Amino acid sequence: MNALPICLELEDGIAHMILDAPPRNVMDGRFFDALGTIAREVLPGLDVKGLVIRGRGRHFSAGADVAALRKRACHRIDVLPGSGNDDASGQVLPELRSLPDPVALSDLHRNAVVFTAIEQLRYPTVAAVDGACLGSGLELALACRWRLATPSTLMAAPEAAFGLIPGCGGTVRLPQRVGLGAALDLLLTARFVDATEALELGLVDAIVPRGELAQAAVRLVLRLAEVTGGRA
Amino acid sequence: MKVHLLRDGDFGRIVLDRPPANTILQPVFADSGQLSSFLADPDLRGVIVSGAGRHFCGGADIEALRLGLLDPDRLAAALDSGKTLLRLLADSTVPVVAAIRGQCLGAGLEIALSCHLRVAAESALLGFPESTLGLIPGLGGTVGDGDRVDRRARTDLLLTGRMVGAEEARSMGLVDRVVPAGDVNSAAEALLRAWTKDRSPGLVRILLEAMRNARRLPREDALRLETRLFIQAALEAKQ
Repeated sequence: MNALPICLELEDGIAHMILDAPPRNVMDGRFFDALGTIAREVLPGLDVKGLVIRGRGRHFSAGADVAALRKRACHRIDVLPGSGNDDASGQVLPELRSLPDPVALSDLHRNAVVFTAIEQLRYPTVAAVDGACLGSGLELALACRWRLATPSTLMAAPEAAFGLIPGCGGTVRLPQRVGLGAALDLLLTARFVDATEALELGLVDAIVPRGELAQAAVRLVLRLAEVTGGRA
Repeated sequence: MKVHLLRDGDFGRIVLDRPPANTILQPVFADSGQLSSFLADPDLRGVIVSGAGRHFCGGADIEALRLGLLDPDRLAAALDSGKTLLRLLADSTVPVVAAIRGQCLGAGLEIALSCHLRVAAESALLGFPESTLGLIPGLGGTVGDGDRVDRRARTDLLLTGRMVGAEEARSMGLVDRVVPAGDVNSAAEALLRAWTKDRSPGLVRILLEAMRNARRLPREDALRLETRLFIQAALEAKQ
């Protein structure tokens, strides 16, 4: 129970980050703490050919603990009125300037920033996605440069079904990958997409057999390292 | 060209109307004040853009355009205002779907590309014929403001001026769905219904706002604002 929810291994010059809270690899507060440390303090300094992210067991990740996240966001806002006028641009969404609670904001924004840190790594990043890849799990996969799926991969952005929107860059990265129309469709219907459709939409780059996922990810990293000289 | 702004229950319809091909006489093809108040109606849940009759829109009326060139400064200002109209569609906080039948060319295609999603009839014809007339698109077609048109495909369409069928248009990222000709409107409506029936208007608005920020703002700012919008959604869901 005290084991870290993420496991980082180095093998033959490739970093493997394993989401390690089976069976569903749910991303809770502890997960984001660990991910933050790894993404900010460890990964940028590694001299590796690339990074492979996968889930322990049958699933990549079922995403964030939505109920807890929502409760925390609302609770913080209830008890901590604040200024919250640190608007990024000043030109948009004036109604949001009245939103209080810099604490809840920074808390949630911290999670989003971690995904950006992964996106900005200088070496190739590959998400090896088997089984469920939902919500923030999908957002993490989208922060990688490449995504491999298996025939049993299921992807969805189900936030809207909980009355929410993605909070870790999904509204930015999903339309970038699949286009505005397809992104809107996935986000508003919250529907599940199988590997074949994910490939068609451009949500994943290739489908490989389940038993070969790990090797395929390693092969991709090695190939990319060869082609790009190790730059992402 | 007349542009009808109609209400049909929860959904609105924007109908381009100048038969036979609904060609556009002025870059400012609609009144921007009317369009923005139409889109701002709090009871509106979605919009379908279509053409009257057999075609979506055949593009700009060439004779009108030639006359417009007699006063280049005025035409430039008109083109800028035309782009503002397209931006109103793209930035709408209710979903906007283009229902495309027949010709969807030049400025017509630029209007369609400003919508959030495009449903096209199997028999639709799409393209940028401007270069065959010694022109280029004037309402953003060369830029692709956040659309998903494949870059090589765009160059091909712009340089050759050729028209493509719906399936090829889909492979290029010009359209999202291809359906039999008789089903275009019902497919667009079914899509809007599926998108909105279980979602609160507030959530849809917040989501489209976040996606608009992603297109319009520097990435860092868009990500920061996403967090704020996430909290706003959480607060509204709680109520």
